[in-house]
Amino acid sequence: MKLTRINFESPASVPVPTVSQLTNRIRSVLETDFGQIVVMGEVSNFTAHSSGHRYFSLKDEQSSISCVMWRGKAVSFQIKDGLKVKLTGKVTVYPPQGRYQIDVSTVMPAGEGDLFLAYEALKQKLQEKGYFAQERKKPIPTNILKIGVSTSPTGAAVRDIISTIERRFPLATIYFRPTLVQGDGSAQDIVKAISELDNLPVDVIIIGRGGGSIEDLWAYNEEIVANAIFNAKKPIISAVGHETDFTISDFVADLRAATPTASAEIVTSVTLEDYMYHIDVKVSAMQRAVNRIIENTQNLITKDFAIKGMRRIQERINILKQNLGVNTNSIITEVRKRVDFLKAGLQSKYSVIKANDPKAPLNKGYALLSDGNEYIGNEKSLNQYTAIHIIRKNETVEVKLNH
Amino acid sequence: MKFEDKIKRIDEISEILDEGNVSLDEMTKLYEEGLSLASDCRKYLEKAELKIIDITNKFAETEDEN
Repeated sequence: MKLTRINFESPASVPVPTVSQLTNRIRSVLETDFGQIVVMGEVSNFTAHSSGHRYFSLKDEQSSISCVMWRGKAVSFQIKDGLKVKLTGKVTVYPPQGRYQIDVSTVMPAGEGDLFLAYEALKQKLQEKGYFAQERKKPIPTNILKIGVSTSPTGAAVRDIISTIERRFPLATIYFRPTLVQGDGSAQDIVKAISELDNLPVDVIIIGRGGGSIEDLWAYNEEIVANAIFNAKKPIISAVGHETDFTISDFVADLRAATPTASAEIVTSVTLEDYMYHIDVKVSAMQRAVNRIIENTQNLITKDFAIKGMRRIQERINILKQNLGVNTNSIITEVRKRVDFLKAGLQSKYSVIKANDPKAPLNKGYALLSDGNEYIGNEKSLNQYTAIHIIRKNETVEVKLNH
Repeated sequence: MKFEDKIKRIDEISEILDEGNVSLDEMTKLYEEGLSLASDCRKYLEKAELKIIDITNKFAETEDEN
């Protein structure tokens, strides 16, 4: 047996690196050589730590790599063991354990089909359980004053909802529950948000978020969210993504709104302007009614007066009729007849008078004799007069008689 | 009297007047009440301001992008 002498002393010129120094060199090599990588594999040993960091292994049939996803990196869907994913990140070293690992920045499902199949499977299951039945859906009230809103505090959705409600119906109160709408823990947070809002005195709850990929919207396809919506006491409007996006929550909710803005319009179906208009209409109706009442009263007074006046006139006519015992037309006829008769009588008398006028012969040159007071007719002799008057047409003379 | 109750009362007065079975005295009183409520409601609506109550979940992580 040959003994080898081992020299434990290092040459003074070459410093011995510490473990940390060596590890740092390894890390530097790995990070520089690999940089940003993309890798595909199956998730196993997934652990979500209470700190918010997530750990798992990515493996295939032969190999396995440790992965870490730090708190703050959003995951657009639920990571589970057995799921095939494609992730991006950088290869690095975890010094305390001397282990290389992938520092994950994004993770995507490897096959589009996986999420779609999960979605379809849950949809069918819930449909069979009657979750989507119209009969069990709660009606959305029309006069909504208190609105529960669960959405992200940082997205466009919350701004759209608030500005729409503010513009249309600023009498409302919004109970806003800032909610994690995508990534790990988002489904759980949505469930909690629904339960919290459901216990507040709200008239309706809007749950939703802005548009995104199917992965971004995934929390709203989770069964626990569907159950929370199904079990809520308050009516819920689901407003997830764009008009073309349909999530499980849309089907379970009492109403689906195409967008967050649309949901805000639905809960303000009666707007401030509607109220103003309503008041205007009612005030006009009151004015019309008052005018009508006044008019009716006036008419009543006038009519009353007219009725009484007419009655009085009628009474007097009746009395007159009774007294006369005839009708007025025959009275008039009778009067006319009598007038005509009198007229005729007068006419004939006038002719007689005219024919017997003693002065008529004077026009022909005859003269009349008078004693100064009356005419001297043939029955009287002139012997008894000492003087007489001779009356001609244009002169009268007195003559003495010599007997 | 709350806003909603005022609106209800306005509706009620409008209905009573519309039926027309009131004396001139009653009519005048109701009409004045209706107009005054309407004016109150208009003012209330004009100065309405949206209230937002934040029900923040202490445990929520608001790190998402949306």
